[in-house]
Amino acid sequence: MNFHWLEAILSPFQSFVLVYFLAVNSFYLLLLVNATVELRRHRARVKLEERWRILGSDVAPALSVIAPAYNEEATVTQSVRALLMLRYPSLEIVLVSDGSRDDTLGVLTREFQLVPVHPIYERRVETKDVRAIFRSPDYPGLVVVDKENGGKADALNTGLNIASGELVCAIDADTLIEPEALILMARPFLTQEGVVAVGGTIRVANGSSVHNGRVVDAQVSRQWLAGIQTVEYLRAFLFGRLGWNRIGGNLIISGALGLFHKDTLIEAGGYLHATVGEDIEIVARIRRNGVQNNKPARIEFVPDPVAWTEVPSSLGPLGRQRDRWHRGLADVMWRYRHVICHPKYGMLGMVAFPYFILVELLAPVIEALGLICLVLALAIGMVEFEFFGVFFFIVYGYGIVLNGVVIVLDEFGFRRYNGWRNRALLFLWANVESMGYRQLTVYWRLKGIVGFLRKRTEWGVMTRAGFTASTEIPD
Amino acid sequence: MSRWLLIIGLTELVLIGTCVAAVFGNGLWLRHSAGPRKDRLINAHMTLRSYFDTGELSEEADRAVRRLSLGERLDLFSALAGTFQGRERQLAHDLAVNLGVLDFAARKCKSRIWSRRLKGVRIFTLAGGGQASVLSLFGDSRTEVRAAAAEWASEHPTPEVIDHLIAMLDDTSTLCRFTVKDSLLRLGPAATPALTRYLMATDSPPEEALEVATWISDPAFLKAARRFQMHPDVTTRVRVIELIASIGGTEATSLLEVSVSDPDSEVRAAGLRALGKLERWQSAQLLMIGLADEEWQVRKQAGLALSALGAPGALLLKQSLSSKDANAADMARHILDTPTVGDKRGGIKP
Repeated sequence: MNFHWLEAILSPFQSFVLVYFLAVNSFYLLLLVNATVELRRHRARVKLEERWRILGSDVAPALSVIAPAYNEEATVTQSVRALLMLRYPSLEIVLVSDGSRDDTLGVLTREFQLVPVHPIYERRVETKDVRAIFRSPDYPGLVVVDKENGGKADALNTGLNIASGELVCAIDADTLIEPEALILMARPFLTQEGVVAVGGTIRVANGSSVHNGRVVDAQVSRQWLAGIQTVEYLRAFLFGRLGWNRIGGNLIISGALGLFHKDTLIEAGGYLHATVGEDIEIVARIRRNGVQNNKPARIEFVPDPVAWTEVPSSLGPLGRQRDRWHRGLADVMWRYRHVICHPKYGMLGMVAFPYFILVELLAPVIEALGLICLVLALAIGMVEFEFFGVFFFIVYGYGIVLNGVVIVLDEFGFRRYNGWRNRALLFLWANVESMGYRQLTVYWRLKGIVGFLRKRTEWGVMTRAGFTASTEIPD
Repeated sequence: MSRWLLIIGLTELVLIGTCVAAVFGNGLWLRHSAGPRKDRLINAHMTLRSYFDTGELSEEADRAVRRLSLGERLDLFSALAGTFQGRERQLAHDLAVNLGVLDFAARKCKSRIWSRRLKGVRIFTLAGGGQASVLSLFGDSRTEVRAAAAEWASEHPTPEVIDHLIAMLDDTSTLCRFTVKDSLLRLGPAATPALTRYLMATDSPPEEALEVATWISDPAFLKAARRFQMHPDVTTRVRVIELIASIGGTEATSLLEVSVSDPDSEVRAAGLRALGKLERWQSAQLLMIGLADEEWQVRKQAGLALSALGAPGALLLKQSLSSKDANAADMARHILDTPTVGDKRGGIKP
């Protein structure tokens, strides 16, 4: 059978795919170099620094932590207790129950002796109605809000309206923030001009020992899905976000740990309901508004503050999560398409947005097509296994090398995973990632793009096991 | 093609192998050295106890400390620095001189590399001393080094050093201005004469200068505060109100009462907050007017100020519950419901 017509299509496309991934991986290399330089400078800046200075300083701004919660009865007590133990001079915790149908509110009322107060507050951002506001006589810094269900963005906006701090930290209710994280994240607001938002590092808690709401012994999960995500998160934060710091293109502050200047958030209109990517969308909006209105809009990432989160350990919830993330990304890129390649927006428009579209958004499309074409080409005898090998090394092997370098960065920069077993597991999962997991994420992200095109807006259901407390604190 | 495949494959294998070797090698090194290092540091800590009690360095303590590498000595001082005051801090300084740590720091301060100059200044901050080396770094080209010099200054309150600090109040770098402000706050009254001169000489005081003056709250600042009360910049007017409130007194009250009719809501709110801090029941009428202000923040501060008056204020708030002005009634309810927490900046924070 004559496949010349097919060869005429496949051959140039395969070359395009190879060149695309060479270019993408080279950009990753640039980010990695940036991240390494940034990390070295950061270590030089903080070495011998007296961090307690901010803790004891009278000039630290008031800070409110906003934790939206929906059906979190299993973990909410532990989360709130951990939040109350955060070290910060002037701290308020605002937990917003977004119409929870389980016993989230009951658990909180019993645990913290909550009493209702009249729900009077300044409604600067429109939200669904607040049913009740509670305070605790034993914990004056704790505010619990019960509202009608309106989604995460609506819950965050309610928290913004009620919070009294100058800075607000939006977290997920099941996130465990390390005690000094807020002090470390507040620092750029005090020491750099025009900072309106700061992001920290999210690490995977699965497999680690948790005691009183703190990760006391960080372990790499033996479960393959959670283990691979551990490496993924290291890559995303240690070289992705840190690398973008130097280029000025941070577009994402993780919803699990982000610190914002409250008035800037409110002036930007708060979080958007009509998107499932509200954490990317708000940062994009703040940055765009900053350029348009000539106002401060600097977004910083600081590697030291850490929050731990439970990641999905089964395919169903993980797939739904990645689908939603990609839908959110597509949605934001579409909303802010006028920023793309517009010189007025500087690095944001000329580098950051094009990168997020060409690399983050479209990579799964190109990778999927590339794989399909490769299989077809092999089937019709168009390519030899050697070409397949080159393809594999450039697309996947390069990724394994990048993973390895990120593990080295973590080892020498932070060293949160001690012991031979953890080190071995990190490398194992870094290698295994490309053998099935990465292809699965391609599939999920493609679903996300299709979902965006079909205008799907649901979140999906995430079931959480809750953090298991250790009975002994290891040495 | 097979040659390329080989090259790419081998290169990637070598790189991955290098990463694995680096990580496991580091783990091996840590395992080999971490234990003995920890033992040396603990031993030095234990043996130094008698030195800080008696002021005499025993032979055992001297040996224990000299056995430490320079990096370990710095870690030791870093751990000790935050805990010592007065005589013990002086003893720590003498020990640092004895061990050559300060000579090392002085050499670092002269380095061309900014991270080394930074390290040098921080060592002096930990161990004390370094006037000759650090003073010249107040004008360093690197922000981090200037800020570290400002941090060092908080432990060395000589007039010359304070003048250098004050001069940095309008530094272009936010980091420097924050550190200067923090250091001046820690110096407290020692900074008053220099800061007063600065405020009387300038037409546009930086926010940081007014914040520091507020915290020090010396009556010497009142004359300068009067100069800026009608300043065109809103933030300056707000800071001046806070300064006046911190000083207190009859004259301060009459100046504050003028501010509650300012056209800007931020200034009105600050004025009401300040009146609350002074707990002047004679200003209750003005506070009641503020409770019905069109702006939320102004109403809130008026409510808090009334709450600060104690029983008379609470009575007025309760009366406001049945006010015809719904905003005033709502705010009175909000304030009466909220548990009170002391706020050292003045006023009551819900």
